[in-house]
Amino acid sequence: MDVKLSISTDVKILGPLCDFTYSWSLSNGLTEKQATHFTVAVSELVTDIILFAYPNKSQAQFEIEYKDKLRNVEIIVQEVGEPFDPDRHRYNPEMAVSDGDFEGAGLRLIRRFCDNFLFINKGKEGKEFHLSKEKVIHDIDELIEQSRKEKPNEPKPADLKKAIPEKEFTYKQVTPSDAEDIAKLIYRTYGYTYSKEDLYFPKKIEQTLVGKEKLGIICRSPKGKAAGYFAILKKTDSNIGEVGEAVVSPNYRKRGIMSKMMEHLIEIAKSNKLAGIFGKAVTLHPVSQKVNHKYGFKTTALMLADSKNIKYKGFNEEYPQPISVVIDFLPIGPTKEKTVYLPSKYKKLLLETYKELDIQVKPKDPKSVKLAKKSDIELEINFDDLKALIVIKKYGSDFYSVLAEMLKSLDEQENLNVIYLDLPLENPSTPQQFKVVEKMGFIYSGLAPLFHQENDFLRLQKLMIPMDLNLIEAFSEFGKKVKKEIGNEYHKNT
Amino acid sequence: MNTTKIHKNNTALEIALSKSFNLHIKEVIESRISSEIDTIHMDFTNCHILDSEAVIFMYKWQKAGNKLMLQNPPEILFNIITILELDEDWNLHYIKSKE
Repeated sequence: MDVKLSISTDVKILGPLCDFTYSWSLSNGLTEKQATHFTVAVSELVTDIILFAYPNKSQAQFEIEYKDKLRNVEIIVQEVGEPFDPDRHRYNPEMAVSDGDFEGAGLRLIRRFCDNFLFINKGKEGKEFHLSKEKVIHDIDELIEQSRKEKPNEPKPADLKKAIPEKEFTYKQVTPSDAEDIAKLIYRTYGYTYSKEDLYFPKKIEQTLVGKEKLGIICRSPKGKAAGYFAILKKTDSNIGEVGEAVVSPNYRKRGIMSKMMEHLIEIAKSNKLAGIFGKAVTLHPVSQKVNHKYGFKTTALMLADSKNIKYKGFNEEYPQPISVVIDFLPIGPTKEKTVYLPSKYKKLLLETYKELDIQVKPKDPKSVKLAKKSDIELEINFDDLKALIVIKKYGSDFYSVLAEMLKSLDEQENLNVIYLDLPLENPSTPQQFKVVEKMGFIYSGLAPLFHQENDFLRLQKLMIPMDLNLIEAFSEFGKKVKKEIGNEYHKNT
Repeated sequence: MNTTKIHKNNTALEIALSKSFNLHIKEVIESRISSEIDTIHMDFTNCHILDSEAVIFMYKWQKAGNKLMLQNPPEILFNIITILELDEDWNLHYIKSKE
């Protein structure tokens, strides 16, 4: 359960805030001890904000956002009080004992009581703090143990001959009551190796279905057994969805179930009036990309090091680097011509991408553009996959300093593989501001159509680790072209 | 609502803390300390969250030559004392009547 609170800088808020944080932490999967530690960390941070960011102001406001994720809980605090640099406030125990100087004590506790703590100075936008705590997960072990006992054998050729005819399978939109069947289906197909681990948790699946965050299709045999599952995960900040979580039970393969489910999903996307759907297809083999292209998806971007390297079932050795993915996009329904402002460096490639998608655009070169007073920049960190996404919503005169500070904070405090950066292509300032970004070590990733607030974005990427691009397989001709462009830039930069 | 109870008994303050002990509670306690107070009894039986403001307040109180007696302090207190490396320097007096 995600929560956003606006908090006053009055010390009286500390008690109720601690009560809430503790209860929220418990109800979102932390143990009592973890919840206590996390609550103390929040208490320390809020106390520091009240004392040092807003001295003598008990009526100011700041925001706290509570985010429940699969493997951790995260709290993001944003405030626009007095400038502050945590690195200048290091706790010194000798000074504490000899002089009673406890400066930095709170920050030491925050760092010890959180698994991740990130401080970002956003200039005129204020400061942002990210605190996260890992959950101790038991349910997955129980589920996997149960599934292990029930795991069926791979089908024998003789069984395939006795196969149930394709037309006898039924396809229905999933409901919360299908959650357990989906989790079992994922286990039986992928073992432990499926990258989206929330699919091993029936309760998590149920929550997303109840909350309508997910539109899925389930295929059942004539006896009602779950045979396949495929879903669209709706994006929260735009009217598009990501297709994924594709699975067909080993017993029912080679009967066109996957194709039928994809057809149903496209129909579901149309009936739900989504503007488009996309798939993030892995590039260690071409199978998923082939399926996407069969249904009209077009490759628009290549995201290097998108998820951690796990052992994929069917591959004997561990893939030696984080997994890169291509974005395959399918517009749904007619699209209106739109004006876009493309950085000259990528203009040709972006226009080719639009052509691939059959989206009409009018590229324009802005003459002079006035920047907003302050930038609006969103940062999302995925601690599991060691990646961050920065989305530029608005350029302000402080754009360079805020972005530079964000990158510095991420570089110094986190051990990330990659940072992605989305620049709005329908914003006339983008060509000019791109020149700033280019100098910061970002290279091309591709087009992210309609990715935020129904607007198109240029996705860039900054690699923090070395990657071997020879291990990346792009299926389509255009995907290969995008990969080549990225490869050239990558080798030029390294 | 925080319902920490503070009672003055001659030269001692007897404090029954509620759920959390933080900057706000510290300020409330400080406002009740008059010149004749030399002892603080703190009952943590219902308190399971405390932060560095609470710990520093108690440490400084005792270091100033005053008496401090704690009842049922939670584990987090000892965690914080260890993290702030005060454990060797601070002889904390406490009793535990519950586990």
